[in-house]
Amino acid sequence: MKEDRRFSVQAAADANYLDVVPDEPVRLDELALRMLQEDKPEFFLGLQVRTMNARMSLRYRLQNAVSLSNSVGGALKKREYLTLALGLLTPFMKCRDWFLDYHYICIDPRFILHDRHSDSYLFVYIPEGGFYNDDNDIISFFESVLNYIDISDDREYQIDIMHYFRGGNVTLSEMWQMFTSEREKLGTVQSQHTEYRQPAPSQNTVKTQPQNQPDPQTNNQAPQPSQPAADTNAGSDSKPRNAQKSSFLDKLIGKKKPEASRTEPMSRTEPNIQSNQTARNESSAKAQDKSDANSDEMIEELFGSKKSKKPAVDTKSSGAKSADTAKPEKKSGLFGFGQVNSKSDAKTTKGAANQNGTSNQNGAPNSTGALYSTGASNPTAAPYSTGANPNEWANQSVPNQGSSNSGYPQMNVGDAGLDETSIGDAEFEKSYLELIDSRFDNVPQHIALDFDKPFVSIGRRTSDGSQPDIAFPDHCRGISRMHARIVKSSGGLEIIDLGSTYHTLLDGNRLVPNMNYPLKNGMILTLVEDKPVRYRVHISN
Amino acid sequence: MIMKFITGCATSAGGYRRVNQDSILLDTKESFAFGVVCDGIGGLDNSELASTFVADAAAEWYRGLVEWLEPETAATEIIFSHLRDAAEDWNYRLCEYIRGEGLRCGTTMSCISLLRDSGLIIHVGDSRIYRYRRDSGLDQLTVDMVTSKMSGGRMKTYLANFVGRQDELSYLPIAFDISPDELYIFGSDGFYHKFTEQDAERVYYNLSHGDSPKALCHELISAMISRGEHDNISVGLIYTCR
Repeated sequence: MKEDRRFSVQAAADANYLDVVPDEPVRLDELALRMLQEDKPEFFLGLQVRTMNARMSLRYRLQNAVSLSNSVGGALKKREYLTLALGLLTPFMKCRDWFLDYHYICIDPRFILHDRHSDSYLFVYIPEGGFYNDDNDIISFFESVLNYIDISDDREYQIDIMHYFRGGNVTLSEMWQMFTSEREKLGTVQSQHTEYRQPAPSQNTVKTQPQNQPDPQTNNQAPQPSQPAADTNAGSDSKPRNAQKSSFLDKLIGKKKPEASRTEPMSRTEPNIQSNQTARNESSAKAQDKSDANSDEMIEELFGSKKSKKPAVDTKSSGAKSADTAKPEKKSGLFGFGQVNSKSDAKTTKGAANQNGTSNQNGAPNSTGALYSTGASNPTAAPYSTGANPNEWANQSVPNQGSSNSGYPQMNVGDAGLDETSIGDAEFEKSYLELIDSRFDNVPQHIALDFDKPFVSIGRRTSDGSQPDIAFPDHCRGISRMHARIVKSSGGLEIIDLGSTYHTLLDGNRLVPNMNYPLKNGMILTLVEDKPVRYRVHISN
Repeated sequence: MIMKFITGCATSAGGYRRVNQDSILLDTKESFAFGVVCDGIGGLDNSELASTFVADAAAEWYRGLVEWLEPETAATEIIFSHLRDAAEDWNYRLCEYIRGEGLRCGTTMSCISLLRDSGLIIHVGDSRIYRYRRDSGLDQLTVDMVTSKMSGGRMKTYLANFVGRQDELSYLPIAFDISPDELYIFGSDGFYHKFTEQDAERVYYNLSHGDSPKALCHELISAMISRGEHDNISVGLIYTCR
């Protein structure tokens, strides 16, 4: 799988740094940037803005902590689990206190750091329009982290968690309340969970803008003393402690209460994420435009500098991402697993010689990380977080261009004649994989490809908890736990072999691991070269 | 800073055995290290075949992996899940081979894989993997899978689990974090019978001062033989640094 090239980790003498280079045109949230640089909410990593070669980049210092992908275990005690859950939820619940929008919190597990000393989690906040995570991405992230951990001392609770996530109507506030109340039930033992400082409300309501700047907006409104922001968060259990006067925040709170409508249409009092809410996705995109405009006005009032209006969020120009935010999502089932097939012989076609692409890059660690002592693992975890938008890679030309001797037909997204800017789920409604033959019993006969998520995983279901989206029975040796993925892209569906032991083949050609290959109608997809399980690809146009 | 691994391994039939039933492999690619030690079960015939079989299968898997692996960006979960699949596959193929050849054999397998700042151990049998840290000393990361039975008036220790015992590999994967300036030592039982924490400390000191890990492995083997070890001796060293 290709890496999101906007992210790169640089090793320096003093620390590792994460450099994030937004795509042009850059749509920076100046307000959020100032907040991060001046007031430094504790759960976000420090941020520097740099310019190199006329390109702006955001640099984050990766502190001496373990990334989430490496720190989360497959088995935790209930208290530890709740500490983890609340630690991860806290920034999403609290960032509004800092006038930040949780949609811009990076949910790539590589860059979520676990500080073991304080048992807290540090996130990267990217105040740029191109790094917007929609609600489904965020929910998927939490599900991928929290739904696959073994709660070793309370199995019933673990089952409750599984039912909750499978129920579909997952919200951040509900999760927060659920975990908070559960932690309270555990007793009065002080939790390890860090209580983050709250931004203190300013006592000074005097206007802070430069005197010479006219301010038509505030002329008609008296500055309103704001309520402590913490009060607005339902379910909050952390009290303001060591409240410090924040200089930048003073400026904001001293003015009218900002509309902070970044999260509209959600309630002001609590984030309320619903999955499969098509209307919200559309209005989120509109809210983003509105919040940009609000931000501009606020900056002009506060800092007295005239900035050009930011261009409205162009959902189409962000490529396939628009498919997730602007298009109504079909509420459809994930797959249709058909009848059990009978064992049949299959001819094995040897794939072409293994070809090494020029951009052989692997995915990022997944949110729930590696395998742990109880053997549980999270097979659905993304090599990259969905926040990094795997669809971005699909906008690039199809790889395997390195070798002219490759037996695989060279294809570019453009060649397919497909609309590169928006692919809706409706186009994949009748797309599916049809089993041709298999050396194993009980494999899925019909696999629908109208999934809601940006990608689905293919692998073997094992007794240690491996649960891919398209799951083959444990007896299908040769199919790896994390065998391959089918991802949505602007050019259609693509398949990625994740480095499986016995390979994935397309029309008889062995796929190079971690490279995207488009799925086209009529192709033969083979899992396991030596004992093939073959599917015919049906893509509706 | 990127994690780096300094590695070396060695094996010897020892001073008394004619056949070396041990196999060991250890290699690194950038911030990925992979090592396996296999000790053929002495009580079964042709166990050197079993240990060689598994070590060769592991080497083949490793070679295939590093063709496309980019250690700096690889997803640890995916890589480690592939390792688990591979280990189970080696066991299954060994069992098929044993059945096909009508053999009775088996081998221990202690497999350690380090990727950036994460590690995974897949351990079956009674070979061992240790970790030495300057501040906390020597820790044994694996648990010997042995059982004791009374036999001939004496308590004898038998291997409870090994590769080649049954088609389904029964094992406990152990995941852990890696820090710089750690020393991982893995070896067969012929190595650790006479191995002490002072040996680990000395090796750690020498490695951190730039000595060759392979040379240190040979020194360790010589030391164990001189202390009276009769068994085959295999040892591998992985030193982490940035």
